[in-house]
Amino acid sequence: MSPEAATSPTDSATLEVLLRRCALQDRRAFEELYRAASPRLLACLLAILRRRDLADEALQETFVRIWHRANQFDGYRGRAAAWLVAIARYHAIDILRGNRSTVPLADAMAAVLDDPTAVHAFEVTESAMTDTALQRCLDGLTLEQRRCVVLAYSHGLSHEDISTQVASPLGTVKSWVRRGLQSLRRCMQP
Amino acid sequence: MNYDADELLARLADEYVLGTLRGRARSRFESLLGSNERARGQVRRAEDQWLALSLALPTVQPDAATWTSIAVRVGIPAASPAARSRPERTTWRVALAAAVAVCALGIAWFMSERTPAPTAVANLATTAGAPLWTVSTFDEDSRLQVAVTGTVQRETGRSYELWALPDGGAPVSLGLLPEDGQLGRDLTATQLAALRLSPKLAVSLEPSGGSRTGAPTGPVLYVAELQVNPAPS
Repeated sequence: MSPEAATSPTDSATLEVLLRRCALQDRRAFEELYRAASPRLLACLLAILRRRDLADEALQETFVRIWHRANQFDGYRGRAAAWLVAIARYHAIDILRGNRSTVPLADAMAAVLDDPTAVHAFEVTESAMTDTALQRCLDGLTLEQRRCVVLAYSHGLSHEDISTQVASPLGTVKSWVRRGLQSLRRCMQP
Repeated sequence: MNYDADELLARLADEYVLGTLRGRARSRFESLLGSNERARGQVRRAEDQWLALSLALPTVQPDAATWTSIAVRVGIPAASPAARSRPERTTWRVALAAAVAVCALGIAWFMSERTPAPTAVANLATTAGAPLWTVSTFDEDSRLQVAVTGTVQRETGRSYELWALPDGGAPVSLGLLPEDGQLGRDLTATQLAALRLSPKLAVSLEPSGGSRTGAPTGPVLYVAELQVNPAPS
C-alpha cells in the first residue's frame, strides 16, 4: 500500500467496507483488512515501542481488539484509517505507561535526539507528508513546539522524555506542547 | 456548555491523542469519554488532525507468524489451503506390522527395548530459530511428551500454554508448558481428536495457571508445524 493509496478516499472506503464485514464476523474480510492495514499499524507501533518483539505482540493485540470492536465502528463513518490507527496507538501508549523502565530508547534514536542540532527524527516522517493541511499547520509552529509535538505523537514520548531528550526544563516543554497544540488546532479548524 | 469548558475538553483531547496526558489524568479522561459525546467529538477531531503523520511513517511488513497468531486468538481456523490428510491408516498398518514382526523376535526383548515412535512432533522455536520445546504426541498411548530444548525465559506470574490448532475449529488447550526439564501427560479424547486435525501447534502467554476462558487470551508467541510420523532421528 503506497502512501498515496492510504490517504486516498478509495482506500479509506475499502477499509470501511472491510470493517463493516468484520462486524458481521466475516473472517475473510478480517484477513484482507490485516493485509491492507498491518504494515502501517506495525510502523506506528514500532515508532512508539521501539522494540520489534513488543511491537509484534502489540500488533497481535491490536488486531484482536479490531476484530472484537468492529461492531462499534459504525459511529465513525468516513474515518476507518483514523479508527484503526487510534486502536494501535492507544494500546502502545498503555504499554509504555505500564512498563516504562523496560522500554529504553533505541540507541540510534537516542543518538539523534541527543544532538541538539539534529531534527531528523521527525523530519523523516514529516517529509513524507506532502502538501497536507497538517504539514502546512506544523510549518506554522515554532521549531521547538513542532519538535515537541511531533516527537510526542510519533514516538509516544512523555513530557519528561522530551524534556530529557531536548535538554530543556519540564515546565518549558509542557508550555511548548500546550501552545503548539493550541496553534495547530486553530490552524486545522475548517 | 460554555466556551471555557469546550476549550478545556479540546485541550485534554489534544493531549490525550498526542499521548502526553498520562497517569490518572489519562484514566479519568478515558472514563469521561464513555459518557461525554463532546469529549468523544474532540478526540475524533484530534485523531483526524494527526492521521497524515501516522500514514507518512515508512511501512513495516509483519512476520508471517503474526497473522497465524492473530487467527489463533480470534478463533479463525489456521490458514491452510486444505485440510491436511494425515496418512493415518497406512501409518497404523505399518506400525502394527512392525510391532508383530518385532514380537516374533522375542517378547522380552521388545518389552525392555520398546521406544514407541511418536505419532507427530512439533519443534517450537523463537523467530530467530533458537529451540524452546519439542512436543511429541503418541496417539497409541493417548499421551503427550514435552521436552525443553533451549532456554525458556521465565515470565513472573504468567504461564506458557500449548494449543492444538485444528482445521476448521477453535484452538484446544494441551496444558501448560514446563520452563525446564520434561513432562509427559495423558491426553483426553477431545485433545486427541483436535491433534489429529491440527497442522500446527501454538504457544501463548497466559495468566499464571493458564487461560481461564478455554481460548488463548494472551499473545501467541510461537507457532510450529506438527510433523506427522517424523523420520527417526
